[in-house]
Amino acid sequence: MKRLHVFLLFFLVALVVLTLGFPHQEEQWFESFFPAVGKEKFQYILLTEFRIPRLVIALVAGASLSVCGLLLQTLLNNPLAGPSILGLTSGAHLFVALTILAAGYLSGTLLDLSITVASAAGSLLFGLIILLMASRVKSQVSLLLVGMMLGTFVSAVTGILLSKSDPNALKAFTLWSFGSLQQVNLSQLPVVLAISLLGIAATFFLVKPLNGLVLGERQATVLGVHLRRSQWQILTVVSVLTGLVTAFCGPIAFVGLIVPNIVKIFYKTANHRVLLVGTIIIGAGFMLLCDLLIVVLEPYIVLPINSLTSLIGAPVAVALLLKKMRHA
Amino acid sequence: MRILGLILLCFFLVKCGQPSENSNQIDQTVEVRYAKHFKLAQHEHYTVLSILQPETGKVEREYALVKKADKSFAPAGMDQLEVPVKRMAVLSTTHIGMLDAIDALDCVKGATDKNFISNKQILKGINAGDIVGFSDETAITPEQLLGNEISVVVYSGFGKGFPNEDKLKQLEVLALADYDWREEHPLGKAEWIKVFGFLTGKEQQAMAYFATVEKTYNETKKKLQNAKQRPKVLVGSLIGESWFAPAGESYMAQLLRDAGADYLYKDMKGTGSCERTLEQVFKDQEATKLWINAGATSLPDLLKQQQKYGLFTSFKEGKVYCYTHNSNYFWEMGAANPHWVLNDLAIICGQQKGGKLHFYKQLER
Repeated sequence: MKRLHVFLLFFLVALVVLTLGFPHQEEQWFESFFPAVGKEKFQYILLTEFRIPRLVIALVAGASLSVCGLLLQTLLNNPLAGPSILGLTSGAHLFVALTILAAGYLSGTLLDLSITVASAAGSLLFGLIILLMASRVKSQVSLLLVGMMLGTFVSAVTGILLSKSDPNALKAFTLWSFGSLQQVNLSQLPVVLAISLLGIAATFFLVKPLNGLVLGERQATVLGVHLRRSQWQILTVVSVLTGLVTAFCGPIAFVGLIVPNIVKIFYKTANHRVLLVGTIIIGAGFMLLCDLLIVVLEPYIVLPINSLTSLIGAPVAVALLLKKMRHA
Repeated sequence: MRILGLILLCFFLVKCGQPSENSNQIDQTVEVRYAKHFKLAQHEHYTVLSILQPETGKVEREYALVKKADKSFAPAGMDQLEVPVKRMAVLSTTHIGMLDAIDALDCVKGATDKNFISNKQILKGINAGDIVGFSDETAITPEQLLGNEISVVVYSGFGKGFPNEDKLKQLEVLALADYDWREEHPLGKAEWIKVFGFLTGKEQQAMAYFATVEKTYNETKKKLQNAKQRPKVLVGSLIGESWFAPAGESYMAQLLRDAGADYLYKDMKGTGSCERTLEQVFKDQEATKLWINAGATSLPDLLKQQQKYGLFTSFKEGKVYCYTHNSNYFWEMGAANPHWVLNDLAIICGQQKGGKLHFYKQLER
């Protein structure tokens, strides 16, 4: 396992170097690091203000959403679970919409903070709804349908709210909902990094209940897992991480669903200490790869990040669903 | 003999009842110099308004604009619209601006949502319940149209027809697509005022208004065409991952060229918009001193949208201009008055000294 960790980590580092050095438009490879004479200051700004924040948020978003996906899949014992497909992202979406519509009553800094808090609160609320439903709905596919219904419900509510909102609020919400890795700047990075690292680090304290939950709720209780408390802890971590990513990058779909499944194929283990490390590395790498693909395709088309993850994620999700139905 | 007389009398009566062949002949084609998506042809007893498909240039729909007394002369095979229209619904704020310019707002009995309207008379009418406010085309119900006796709905055309158009037609409510937003020439947009003139029976007023706009616009353009110092101008803002800037042959690019500006993406082919990434724009804008249509009301508001805007040269120098402080007014009056927009841009570019901005405002720190 350690060898696989090291190999994947090496792959991730190589991807980071490749992304930072990849030539944009008519640039040379690694031009930001070795700028032409007279272009030093400009290339320095490009590197520090544009490329590094974008790279870091891609790593953070990929790792966080993938970890959330893994946690939800174990908690609900459902390989098709993920923050977007279960409606947690929709919850964040709805609460951010409400916050932006109330923006007239909030000042600038308070609004930024409110969006992050609202996003996390929305995820938490919808996570609780899903948890409640999971205790009543036994079919895994039905639970996904509940998540999708929540998504549809949120779309309808936000649609109604926005139709009654003033044009400025409508514009602010539309810009946010497009999703982007370019919203974060250098000064915000320490906060984003601190929250995400704390959230991800907290998951390692949940390894025991997670490993217990793999065997089912009853077995987990027999093994000494405090079920209710663990569910709350998992859901809190998931909500904070999903809320953070959704607040700063907009809704990003499917990453949390497909990465944990890829990790399980690679590692072939149920030990969450191993799976978490693998999910962090592969999740970060997956998002970075998507971002690199966007840069490669830039001369032909500018792809929004959530469109690209959906383009890749949706067929994988369908394949997983079909596989599951065949085994059922 | 009596029978022959009866036959001759019948023949005479039938002949009198039919529109004469001459009435189908075009007596006068209304001059449309800049607009490409409509035509007007005046006949003896009616006027034919042809709406042309922007993609193909082919006739999408024809309307016979006919006065009540001349209804029997209207040609078959095209929609008949009794003019002057007494009660109409207009689903774009631009239409309100055009009707306002020719003093024909009284016929507006239905309008777009009041969030998108600046005109006080229309807002007052909506608040008083005299004018129906429609949020969008799909929200219109036949009951609202019939209840307000609306005979025509003018909407911004997207080439797909109006929702439930055939059903509305059975209720004698016609839908009319307005493609002014697809016109590429600033004066082409403004020329649609002629359509509103013919609809409301104020054709002379509309022709005169457009002639004044055209004269003023072309005089300013002529004065600035040899401007030696043309400042480099950046246009647009980021939406998601993409920066949508007007392409080199677009309406906005033409306005900037006519205003004596050196538009950053003037060489980009197309009449719509071109797509760039934030990083590409940042690289391109280094020598750009002016930024217009940034989509914000102040510089802090702009920074709230994207912190990296603070690195732009024009932002650092505080030379950012926009109409966002009163967007509705710009969209309402800008299309009918391109000479005002041109004048604003010329002032911003430093080509007109001492003038006052009409739509635009320099963003405050």
